[in-house]
Amino acid sequence: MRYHRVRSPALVRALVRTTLLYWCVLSLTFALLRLAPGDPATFLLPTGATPADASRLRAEMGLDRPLATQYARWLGATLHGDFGKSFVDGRPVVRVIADALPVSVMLGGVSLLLSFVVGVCAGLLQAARRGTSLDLALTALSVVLAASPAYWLGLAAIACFTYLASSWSLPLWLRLPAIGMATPGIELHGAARLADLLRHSILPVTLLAAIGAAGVARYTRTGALDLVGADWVRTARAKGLPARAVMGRHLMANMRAPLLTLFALALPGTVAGSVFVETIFGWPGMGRLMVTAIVARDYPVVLGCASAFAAVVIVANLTADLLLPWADPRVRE
Amino acid sequence: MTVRRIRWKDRRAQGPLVVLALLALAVVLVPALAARDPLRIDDVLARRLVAPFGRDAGGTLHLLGTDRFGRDLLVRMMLGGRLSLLVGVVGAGLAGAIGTLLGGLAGWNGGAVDRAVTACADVLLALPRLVLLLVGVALWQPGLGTILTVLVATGWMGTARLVRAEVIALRERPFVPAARALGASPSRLLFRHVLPNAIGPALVATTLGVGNAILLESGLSFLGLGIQPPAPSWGNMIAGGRDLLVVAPWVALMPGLALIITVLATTLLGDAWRDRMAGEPSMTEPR
Repeated sequence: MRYHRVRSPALVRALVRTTLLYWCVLSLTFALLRLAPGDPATFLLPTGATPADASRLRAEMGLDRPLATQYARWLGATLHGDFGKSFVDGRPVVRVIADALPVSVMLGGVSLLLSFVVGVCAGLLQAARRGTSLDLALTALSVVLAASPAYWLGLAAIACFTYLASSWSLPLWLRLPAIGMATPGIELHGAARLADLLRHSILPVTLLAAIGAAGVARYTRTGALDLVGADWVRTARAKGLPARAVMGRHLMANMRAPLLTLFALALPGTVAGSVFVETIFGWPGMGRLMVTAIVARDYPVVLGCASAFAAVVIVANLTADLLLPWADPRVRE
Repeated sequence: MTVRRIRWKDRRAQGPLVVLALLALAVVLVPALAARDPLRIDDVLARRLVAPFGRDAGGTLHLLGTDRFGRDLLVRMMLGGRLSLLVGVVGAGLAGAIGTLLGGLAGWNGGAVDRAVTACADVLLALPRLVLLLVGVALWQPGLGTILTVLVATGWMGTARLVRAEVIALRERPFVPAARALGASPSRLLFRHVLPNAIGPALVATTLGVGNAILLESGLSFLGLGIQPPAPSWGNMIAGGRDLLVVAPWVALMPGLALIITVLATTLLGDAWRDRMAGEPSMTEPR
């Protein structure tokens, strides 16, 4: 109960700050569209539009009005969730994004979770076995993974598990599907459909998780090694606790807050990774949507995607901020 | 007084430095010495898809093989490498310089300047960098200029934060009032006395940023939103090898390896310098 009084103003402050931040980000997209060379009306019109269309749109968008009026109108529409219509099929941008978002959330969420589980375990293992060949091998692996472009690793994985797997006549279960989320042409239901989806997600999820885990492992290893020298670690060992208990309980309790921060920091990386992974593996998520929209010069969708990505990152940061007192009781004071 | 400093003779930094120097040399020399114009396409049937170390119908040796139009991969990769190194060094370098300047001003002046710089950094950090890059190439023309501009515009925040924190800590050190007592002006204090002491972390962040910039440029080019063919870049060369994975895997493999080696070298260099500075007594936390 005591914390309640302290926390609610902090919550309000965090919410106000987050709202302000998001408003700034949205204004940035507005400014970028105005800063871009040429008339926004010509940007926002699909190819094949006539000059008459352009002047109609200009009047409709209020481009003949002062900039302040334009901004107020745009902000009003955005607050109503109106990001305009896609040029490609005329659907509202919000609807287009709502279709793509679950795919990305599933792909990104599962791989982010996996990368943390695998990365934290690997990092702790490395810290416990510091200087051994295992530590060295894992460090080398994580450094190389961090330096490799995600799309190139994706192509390599496709080459290995499709073409090479069949030319080396590997067992059937190792010949993995590389494109799309489901086997085309067959209608599957229930468990069979889920199994099909799982098989299709093995390559993209593993790839994205491996790249994320490399970063998490390096971070965990460094953080754990910083803590290992602390007095309370020696005390815990001296009173007879096994290394596993010290690592698992005492160290992890102190790693919780930095890992929480890392979780929020890792999210933009997952977004970027999923742009390439979705493009390579043909998953109809947000990353692929944005790339196809850019190629098609579908500006409302591009800006809508950017706003959505920003919202995800900002919400993640806010969540991490709000969870920090739970992870690290010292910041409650 | 010990200042955290980067040493060129650092043993761990020497390997990556040698690799980067050799790469820079190769990137300058190989295309210049090439017998054929690396963009020229002729006699495709006799030259195309020669395997690494193979000879084409005319008997010319191709160390890394040729692509589907019969162009030598080594020469094209080194041409693309010019671009990658340029984007990496210029993009990260300019971003680092701007970050150092803004972070220094913010930390030194405090007040409104500080708030403005911090707010700008917060807003830009709320968007994943790749997304900002994608918006940039969507609204402007895809090309070297746009990529460099957006890389610089989205790359300065990390350095600015580091330098700001460093300057705030350095501001309180006794040598600052000492220099002021000797009659140094505020700008001289900042640029001659405080910033040079804060430059170490900025240099490390910039070095690590080089690899990041190279990866981002190659990614955009891979998506077809960066450097446009026929100009070679590692990213668009990998894209060109994408549907040749079965018949000629080396077309996509080689530029990828070049990318990994380059980025790895810059990362290891940055890591070595960072550990070097962490290991030394620092100015901001006197022992």
